Amino acid sequence: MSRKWEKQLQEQLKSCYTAPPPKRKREFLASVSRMAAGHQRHPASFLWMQAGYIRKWNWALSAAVFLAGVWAARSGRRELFQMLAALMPFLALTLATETGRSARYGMEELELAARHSLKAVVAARMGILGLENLLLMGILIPLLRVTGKMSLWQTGCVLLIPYFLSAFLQMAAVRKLRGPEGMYVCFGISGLVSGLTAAGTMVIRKLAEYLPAAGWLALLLVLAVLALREGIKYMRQAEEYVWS
Amino acid sequence: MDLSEQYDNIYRYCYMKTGHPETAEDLTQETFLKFLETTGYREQGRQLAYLYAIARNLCMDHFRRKQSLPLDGVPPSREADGRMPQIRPHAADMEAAGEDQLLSALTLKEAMARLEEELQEMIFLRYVNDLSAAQIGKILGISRFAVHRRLKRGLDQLRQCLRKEDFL
Repeated sequence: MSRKWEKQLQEQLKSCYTAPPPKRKREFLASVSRMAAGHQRHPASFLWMQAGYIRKWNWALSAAVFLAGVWAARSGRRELFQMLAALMPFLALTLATETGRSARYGMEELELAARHSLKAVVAARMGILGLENLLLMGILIPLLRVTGKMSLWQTGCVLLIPYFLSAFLQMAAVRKLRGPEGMYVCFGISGLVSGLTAAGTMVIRKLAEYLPAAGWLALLLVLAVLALREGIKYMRQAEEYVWS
Repeated sequence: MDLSEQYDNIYRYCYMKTGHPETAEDLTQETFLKFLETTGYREQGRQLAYLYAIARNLCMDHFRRKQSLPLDGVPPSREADGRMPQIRPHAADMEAAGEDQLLSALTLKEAMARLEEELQEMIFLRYVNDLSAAQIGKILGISRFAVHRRLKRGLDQLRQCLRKEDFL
């Protein structure tokens, strides 16, 4: 097909699809620019606003895990450390329940029509809770390392591997199973990973002697990436609903 | 994004869909209001596709409403066979344009009306609103390669129709 023909066609199409001039354009654009200026919100204030919508029990659970960690660090007892590692999947549960909250209550459609997109809201809440959980663990890991007999990376792996494993499985569950059944599966995953962590700490200690530090860190990194990937997939899914 | 330029493009798009200037302008304004209400997409580099997606959905809703509430004296919605409305030139345009040009415009519009709706829309977006294949792909939810393929098919069909009419 020749370029000349295409050019000629374009000119013809442009002239035959010419619309009469719009009558209310200037007034509308003037009012819209005022509205757009009024809607601009600083990202920090948006995050602060979303933090207010996160349920209290999520904060309470995080605080309880943190206090349990401080207690375990002060007492220096191994079984308490084991118990703390077994609590990590429940910390990840706060992230999954908050992320899938709209889907669980069938509120997605309503939230899609809201001023802020569901994707932005989910991303903000996921980011706030994820950072808060990692911050707590960032404080707890050095504390536990000082009082315990394990090195820093071992302490980090024992706490973070169950956390990221649960986060990954739970995010996959809330993404695939929308509604209350997704939440039941998340509770099941938390219970399972928690039980395995509590029961398998001794086995892990023995395994740690054979598997080099790099292997554990690689496993931790893979689980962290998988959890992050599931979070991104969930947000993309929310975006697709908007476009539908 | 230049709102003023996009206003004209969206208005032209809605006019192509509805064939009525007042309705097209109402739909254009509604599109912008919806677009500005949803802040999440404005900073993500997909604003244009999102804007057209809103306009497209609003035009569809408009046709659905029109089908369920037929009123006399209302601007044309869809033709009896479900195709896009035929946009007739305005009297002012008729005076300004030469007779030959007018006949060419009518022939081209009739040829366009014979194409599938999706092809009409693609040709319009590509050649009238100057969107790239990638942008059209984002609006219609298909790859740019699919856009290229379908555009080529549409242009071939259009060319055949126009040859029959001795237009080109």
